[in-house]
Formats: sequence, structure tokens, C-alpha cells
Amino acid sequence: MEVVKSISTEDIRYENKSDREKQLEYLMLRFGKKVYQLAYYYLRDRQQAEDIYQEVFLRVYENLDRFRQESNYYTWIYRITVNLCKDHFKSAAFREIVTMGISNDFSKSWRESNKLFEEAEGGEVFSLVLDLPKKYRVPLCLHYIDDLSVSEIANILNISENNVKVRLYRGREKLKTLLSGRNINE
Amino acid sequence: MNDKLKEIIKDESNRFFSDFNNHKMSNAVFYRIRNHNKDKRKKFAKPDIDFNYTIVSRISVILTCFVLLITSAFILSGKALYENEKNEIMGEPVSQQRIIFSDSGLKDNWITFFKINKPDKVLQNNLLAVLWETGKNGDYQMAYSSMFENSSKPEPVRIIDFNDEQPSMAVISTKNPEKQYIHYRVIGYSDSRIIAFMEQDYVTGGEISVIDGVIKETRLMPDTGFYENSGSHLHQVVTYYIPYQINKSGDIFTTVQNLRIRKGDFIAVLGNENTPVETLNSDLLIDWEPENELINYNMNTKFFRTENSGQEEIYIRPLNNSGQGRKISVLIQ
Repeated sequence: MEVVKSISTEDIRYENKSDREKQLEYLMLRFGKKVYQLAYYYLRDRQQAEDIYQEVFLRVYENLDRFRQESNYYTWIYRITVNLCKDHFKSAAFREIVTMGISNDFSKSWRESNKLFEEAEGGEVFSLVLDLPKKYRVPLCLHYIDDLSVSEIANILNISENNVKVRLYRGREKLKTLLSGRNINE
Repeated sequence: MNDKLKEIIKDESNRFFSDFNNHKMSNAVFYRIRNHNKDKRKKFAKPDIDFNYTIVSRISVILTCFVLLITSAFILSGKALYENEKNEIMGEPVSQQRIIFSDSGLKDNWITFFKINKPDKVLQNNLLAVLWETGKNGDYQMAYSSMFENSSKPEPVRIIDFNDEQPSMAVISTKNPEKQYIHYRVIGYSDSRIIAFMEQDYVTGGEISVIDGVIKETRLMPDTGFYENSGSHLHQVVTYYIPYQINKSGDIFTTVQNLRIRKGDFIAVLGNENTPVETLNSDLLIDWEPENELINYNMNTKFFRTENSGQEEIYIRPLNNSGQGRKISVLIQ
């Protein structure tokens, strides 16, 4: 797992902050980008990923007192992120978008414009990875982009290691299908 | 996946996320935290604005006179408008039950079910459950409320007691006898406030009971999955929810140590989402992801499916604290 190697005091603006806020700032500096990325893997929308980022760290702030072992912070924070993303899919607003016929066109164009951004600002292969069903793309991204181990992914997604391995395998197979016919070697 | 492809994915991802501005995002979080704190303080602090109290008091007197005049007019005409509104939107209490949560201190708790309609005034058999608790002055205040759509019959509230002075949980449920479905909520105290551990609506053919501290839920599901046509054959699914609580030291408490179930039943552990746990098991229980099969399933709840008979153990371990876990023996028959 990638860890921010050194955090200088210059990076953290400590003035007028309580100890709890300083702790939160440290956690945001250390895990913030990963949280944002994880939310994006789920939601494929920058704005929504930013909303999730804020919600995650507000919850972290509210519950900081519960933690004693720093080594578990990442699991806890990533779990909150995963839960909030899943909550988002369950939320009334999201269900309305998905279930109401009138919103089908909107939903389609929303997905297409996000895909265009992914291709333009990232690349074709990255966009294809994100085209995979979220069941496969999330573990695949965590493993190949964020360098998380199988057991770390299992912890974060609250599934067994075997399940992670199966999803990685199937995700790779599906990606292979998506890549076939393009000039990129699997 | 070969190294070249991995490298491409990583490079493209780095490029895509390169404009992420952590500084801006963390400022937004601090802005929300401080605004939230400010709002809290404002509730107790005297406002900064200098009011002209003379004008404010005069306006208040005028408004009070106006309200009194209007109310008198309605009373005199014998038709209080709000009576009609009341009949159409909010009904009389349907049932009321006293609840004793073991760890709610000296609080006195009651649950009242009211008949309620939506603002469009279309008549429905909705019920609003309100959980009352006594405040510091002994007066009742609302601690939790939840609406149960299209169901007319409140069921008795069931209490799940934990030993070891952990707060109890309560199962509130309502039924639609004609359409044979239930709604239910599992609630309880966590850090002196009521939270919902699980909320389920429209459980077809549903029944909910508490047996030896374990919640037994029965529902009907299509053989081919939840979203298939309703014409397909339905089968009964039984799920046992094992409730757990975590105390301040991080130790886990459950209501049960031994559980006997039938082959094909499901097991899940149920607790506060802010205190995540890890559930370990051996091969007899198979991880089950109800994401695509159960509507409103609780994503913090880990489900197991039992496909073979035998003796099994589930170990619930706190993820964030160094407290003690709990082992539950499961006999699958």
C-alpha cells in the first residue's frame, strides 16, 4: 500500500487547530487522495467523489476518539468510504435516477460524458477498466492502481480473500475481452 | 495481466487523478466542521445582532392579537379548520407500549404508533412509530421516529437484552395482513442516542421474531432471484441475525453463544456500523452477498449461507480496537 513517505510540518498548517483537527488534517493528507480515488472507482463522478470525501472525513472527525491503533486507520477510513458509496447507490436520489424512465436519457448522457472525461484526462485503458461492473472494477483498481494486497482488499470490502481472488480473476478476464481488438497487449 | 498493461493502467490513472487538490478538499471539510460547531454554539449563545427589543415586542403583541382573533373566529363559527386537517393527515394513536432498555439509565421509553397520511391526503394505511424517552426534567421527548408505509397493524415490540450491562435493542414491526408483508426496524441506544441498526421494508411473506436473543427473519423470495417476475415460484428464506454490541473498551458482546439452525438458512451479524467488526468462519458457512437479491439490505451486515450440515464457529472480532472478540458455535442440521 502506498504511504505518504514524509510529511513535513510545513505541509500541515497547525495554527488555530485543536489536536483533533490536527489529527484529522494528518489523516486527510495521508489518505485523502486514496479516499477520493476509491470513491471515484465506485461512482465514476468527480463531484460525487468529492462529496463522499467530505462525508468520510466528517465521520472520521466525529469518531476519532474510538481509535487507538494507527495501523488500522486505513482499513477504517476505507471501510467508511465503501459504506458511504454503497449508501449512495441505495439513496433515494440515486434510485430515482435509475428507476424513473424519464431519467434514462439523462443517466446515459451522464455516464457517457464521464467516460469521455476519463478517456481524455486519463486514457483509453483506464476508462475500460472503469467500464467493468463495480464488483470487479473496485478490487481491480485497488489491486493494480493502489497496490493493495488481496488481504487488504478483503478487509476493506468486507469479503473473503478467496472472493477477492475470484473477482480479480473474473475482472481480468472481462478486461481481456474489452481489450481484444485494440492494440494493447494483455 | 502483464507488467506493461499494469503500467499503462497506473500511468493513465495517475494522469486522471493528478489534478486532485487535497488542500482544497481538506479546507472544505474544515469549513463544514467549523460551521457545524458554530451552529451548535449559536443555539446556546446570545445572538450578535443588536435587536431593537421595543419593535420586536410590539410586533409580537400585534401577531399574538392577530392569531387570537383568527382562532376565536374559527371557534365561534364552530368549525376549527385544523380539525379537518387532523382527520386527514394525522390520526389517533393506534397502540402504545412501554419499553425497558437495560442501559438507558433512568429513562422511561414508550413507543406509540400513529396513523398518518402523506401531505397529498391520499388515504393510506401508513403508521408512524415514535419512540419517546424522558429527558432530564422528566418530560417526554422524541428519540426516534420512523414511517411504515401501507401497513395497518403494529406488532408488539420485542426487546433483545444483552447481559453484561450492554444496551438492549428493540425490534419494531408492522404488518399488512391483506398483502402479507411486514416492515421492521432494529433500533437501540449507542452513545446515549437511539440509532437504527437495520431497516427493512416490504418483506414479502415476512415474519420477525426474537428467539433466545437472535432475530429470526422469514421472507419469501423468487427461486430465480428478487428481481425476476412475480409469477415465478417463491421459496422461504430464513435468516438469523446475531446482534452484537461493543463496549467502550472495545470488547464485543453478543446475545448468544450457541445457535442451532437448519441447512439452507442464512446467518448475519448485526451491530453499529461505526464500530466495524471482522467475522471469521470456516468452510461450512459460505459468504453470501445479497446486494443483488435483497432490497434494502444492510451493507454493514455480513451474510453467510449454510449449505452443509455440521458444527461451525463464527468469530466476531473488533476491527479498530484491541478488545475481545466473541465466538459463536453454530450447529447446522
